[in-house]
Amino acid sequence: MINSFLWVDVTFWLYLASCAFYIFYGLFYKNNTLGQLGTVTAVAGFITNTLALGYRAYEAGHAPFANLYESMLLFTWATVLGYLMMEFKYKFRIIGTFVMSIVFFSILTIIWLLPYRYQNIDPLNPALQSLWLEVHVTTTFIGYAAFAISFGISIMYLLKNWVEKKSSDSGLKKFLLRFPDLNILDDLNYKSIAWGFPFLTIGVITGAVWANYAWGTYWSWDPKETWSAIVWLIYAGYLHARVTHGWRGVKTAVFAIIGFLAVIFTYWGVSFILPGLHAYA
Amino acid sequence: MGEEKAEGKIAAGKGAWETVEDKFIEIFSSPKLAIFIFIILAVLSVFGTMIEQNREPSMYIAAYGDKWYGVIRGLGLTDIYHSWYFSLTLILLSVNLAVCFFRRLPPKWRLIRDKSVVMAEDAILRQKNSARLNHNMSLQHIKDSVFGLLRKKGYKVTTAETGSDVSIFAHRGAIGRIGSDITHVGLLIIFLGAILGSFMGFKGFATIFEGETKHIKEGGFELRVDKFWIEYYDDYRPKGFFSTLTVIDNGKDVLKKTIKVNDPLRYKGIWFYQSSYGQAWDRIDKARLFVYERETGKFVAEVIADFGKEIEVPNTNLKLKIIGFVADFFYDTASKEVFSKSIEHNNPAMQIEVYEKGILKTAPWVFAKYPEAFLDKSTKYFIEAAGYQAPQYTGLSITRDPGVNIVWVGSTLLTLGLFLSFFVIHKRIWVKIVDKNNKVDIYVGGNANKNKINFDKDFSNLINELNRIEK
Repeated sequence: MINSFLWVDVTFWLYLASCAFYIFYGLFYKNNTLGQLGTVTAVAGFITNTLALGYRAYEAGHAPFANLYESMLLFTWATVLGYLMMEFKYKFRIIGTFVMSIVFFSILTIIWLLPYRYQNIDPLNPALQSLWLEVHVTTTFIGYAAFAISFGISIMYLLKNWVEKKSSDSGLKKFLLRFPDLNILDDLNYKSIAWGFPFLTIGVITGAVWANYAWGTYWSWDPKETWSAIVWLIYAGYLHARVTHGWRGVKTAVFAIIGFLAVIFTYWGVSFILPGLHAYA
Repeated sequence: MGEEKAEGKIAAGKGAWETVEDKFIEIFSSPKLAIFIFIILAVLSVFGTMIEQNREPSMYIAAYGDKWYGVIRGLGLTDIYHSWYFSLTLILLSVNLAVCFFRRLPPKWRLIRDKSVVMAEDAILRQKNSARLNHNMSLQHIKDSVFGLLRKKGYKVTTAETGSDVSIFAHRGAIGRIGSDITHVGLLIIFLGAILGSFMGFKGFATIFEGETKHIKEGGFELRVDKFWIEYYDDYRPKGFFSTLTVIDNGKDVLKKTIKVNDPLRYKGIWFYQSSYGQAWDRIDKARLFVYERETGKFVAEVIADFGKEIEVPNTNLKLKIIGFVADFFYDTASKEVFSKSIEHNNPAMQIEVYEKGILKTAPWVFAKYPEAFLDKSTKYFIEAAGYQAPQYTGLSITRDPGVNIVWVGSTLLTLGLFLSFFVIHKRIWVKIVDKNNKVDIYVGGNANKNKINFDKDFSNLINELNRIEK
């Protein structure tokens, strides 16, 4: 029977394949076919991911953004979309090695780690029945996806920066030296955040508008709200450091990594450790 | 966001006060301070999420112990977002934003309004992107072609004739330069709205029973709750909470609306939100009572008794009257009074007067959850409360926030500014066309304030198209 779980399974295997192709492409660098296979499977996974979300919406009768399982499917969807756009525009396939690893790990998490009850299709509780659900969740997750890509690129930056100083001629060094130039990585990192930041901002603001309709206050220092503000402050710090203060390289890469760790905590940590009003995902 | 690094040099020969002022402006417009403030706010907010805010002291004492509670409280960590140091940091941020705005905007404004068309050939060639080419065509034809080409690419074009030469200045996306300033103003406006809301607004909460009317003193009108109900999904999860409300102003019903979560009622700037619900804890509408013979346990009769009204029990000479109810029974031995320990229906109990042949015999408490606790032996009957119905109330959040629309205006500006500063690039191109006896030399130079790789492409496309100009 064709249903959303089938599409999630297919997406899982496609993302696994894509991740593997990109990694082998990175390690055995003379083989362009591996890279192309990585892209093709990523595109195929993106299509089935879209179908999984579409079927889920059809089965539930509402936008599939009501719990962690569903929002993680949106996260992988937006991250792959963002990555494919970047690959199409800048042609640095090696970045896929890192971004598709994040995507694969994400979908692995919801299939294996998340308690099974999260996969249930639940009716929308009264607080979630709002037109703001779609726009708040979508914009926030475009932001998260862009920050995930920036995280992958920052790791690449630090690895390449570290290996460039080493004199040994190991296979690892050959692999890492294939990464784009440091200044290109730094620039792509900035570009990802330049996409993520405005969307995160819209996500926070639409969340505030929604809260004002649902709870009668646009800001109540709920843990989810507060952590989204912390994430916002970190990336605002990144932008001022880089654009106005002229920071580049290691410092901004570390900044972006801290930012994404805060995103993970806002998304998962707050939901499990700091319960509040925003207890869905 | 590509503004040049601003240097705050202090000129010699200035007065002491001016030096202080310069120093102030220098400190408060530095990005270092902004980053520092962001970090402070982030760290304080982390504390605020790790330590629960505005809870009762007993909760803190249980979690941290007496001594640490004193420390946490003393440092203001139990209400950190309203502590003096959090407010101070926000004030610093506002000053930082305002100083940056007034310092950075004027030069940028002058730059984007700058209409100086004429630039010398060598200055054109010194631009970030530049080229020199020539054609065997008339000056007028080249001028029209360049003009048309730049217009087609969305540039605002101005031209000037300088003797036998023609100068052209074209630019687009100038507004992108002030995106960050719009964002900063947006944030300041949000703060303004928040301050206004906290001083001029109010937040309240009311529980109102069905059929009751409440005077809303902040608005000078009355609110009646006509009905409250819950709808369920097939699996008994709540689908929605609904209250039908009527606004009564000057004695007249002026507005009726059924509110639910996410769909409040608004009247005269006051919003009413569906927030909670519950049952009365001090009274009931009616109860179903079973009467047995105590000795034999034989069932005698069932009656539905309205609160406060005598009711005859069939087959007996009894009359019953419910005179009291508590949701969570508690008997205070000191005052010898019964009251409800909480508003939860944990141990619901009702006091029933029992009349035999019209004479009040006794008034025992009957416990709905513990029928065996009926120990009264004044009559030969045993009374059990089989069920009851309490009036329902709806819990409404009532707020007025005159700052909220200001917050939305600020939010819109903030977002708009971000898109302008990230995605709208100020591209400038200068062209000088020099006539040389039916031949022309063309000097082209240009720059962009950000995304220079993108402009490199634009510029080389432009040069290719200029090379291909035909007669």
